[in-house]
Amino acid sequence: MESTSTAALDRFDRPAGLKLATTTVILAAAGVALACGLLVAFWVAPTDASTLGFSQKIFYFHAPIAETALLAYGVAFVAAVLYLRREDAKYDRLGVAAVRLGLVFSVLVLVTGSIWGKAAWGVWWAWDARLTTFLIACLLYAGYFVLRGTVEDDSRRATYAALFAIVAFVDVPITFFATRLLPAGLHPVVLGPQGSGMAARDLVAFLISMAGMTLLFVGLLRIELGIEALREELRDLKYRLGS
Amino acid sequence: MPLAEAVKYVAAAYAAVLVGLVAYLVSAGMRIARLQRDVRLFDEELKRRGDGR
Repeated sequence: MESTSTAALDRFDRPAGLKLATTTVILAAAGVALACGLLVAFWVAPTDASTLGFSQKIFYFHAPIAETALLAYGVAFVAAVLYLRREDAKYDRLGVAAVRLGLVFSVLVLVTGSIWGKAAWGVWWAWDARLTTFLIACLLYAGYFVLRGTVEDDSRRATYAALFAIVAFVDVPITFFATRLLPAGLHPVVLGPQGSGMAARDLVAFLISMAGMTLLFVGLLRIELGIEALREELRDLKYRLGS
Repeated sequence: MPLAEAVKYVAAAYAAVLVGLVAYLVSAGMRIARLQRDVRLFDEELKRRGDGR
């Protein structure tokens, strides 16, 4: 009879397994979409006529990465609500995976944003409303892992983390709407009430990159969920061994 | 901004994304390998003790 831990290992060990194959297809589709987005951004979309000039090309990855980071925090929020309602560990795993990826994407946003800020505004960082609220979100979600590291009991850790993820999510809509609520800031509005303000070819490049980045997030989320399942299996084995 | 200077910023930004994603994937691969190894070890120990089924 196969033990449960062997079943968990199979998630990664079985090359022809449906989950791994699906994840590979999603990541490949993400790669194709992102490559297409780059091609359109650099060879089809016109160079920005403002003072930004060619440096505006950073936008085609920077903005989709930022939207994906906020999407990840949204997924973590939904997972937290579902965990508190159903107390099913799979929602806790989903929350952990989403927050981890949200932080990865957030770091990329801060780095690319800083480089673009230097090109556009002449400074690496400005205490603009969008930048500041985004930084606060990053610090809050980094705190999510600090909190998880301080609680031993699995059930209590998952409950506290879910509550924290719900509270931390309050900053996400504030970040998203910061440029609309405080239009005097440096950061431009990407998607406003009057649309994107982008030319058709710019918008196509942005949307293709956005689709690619979302697919990348889904693919990486599946990998993270597999890792969390393995981690839980290891905890279970340690418990059974009494160590 | 002159094109030559803008190109440097654009290249730096895209390189940062590439390096960041590769670093993340390497880190994820290492986590998977470590967890698989640990699960195997604990599973074998459990079976050795005779209560693994």
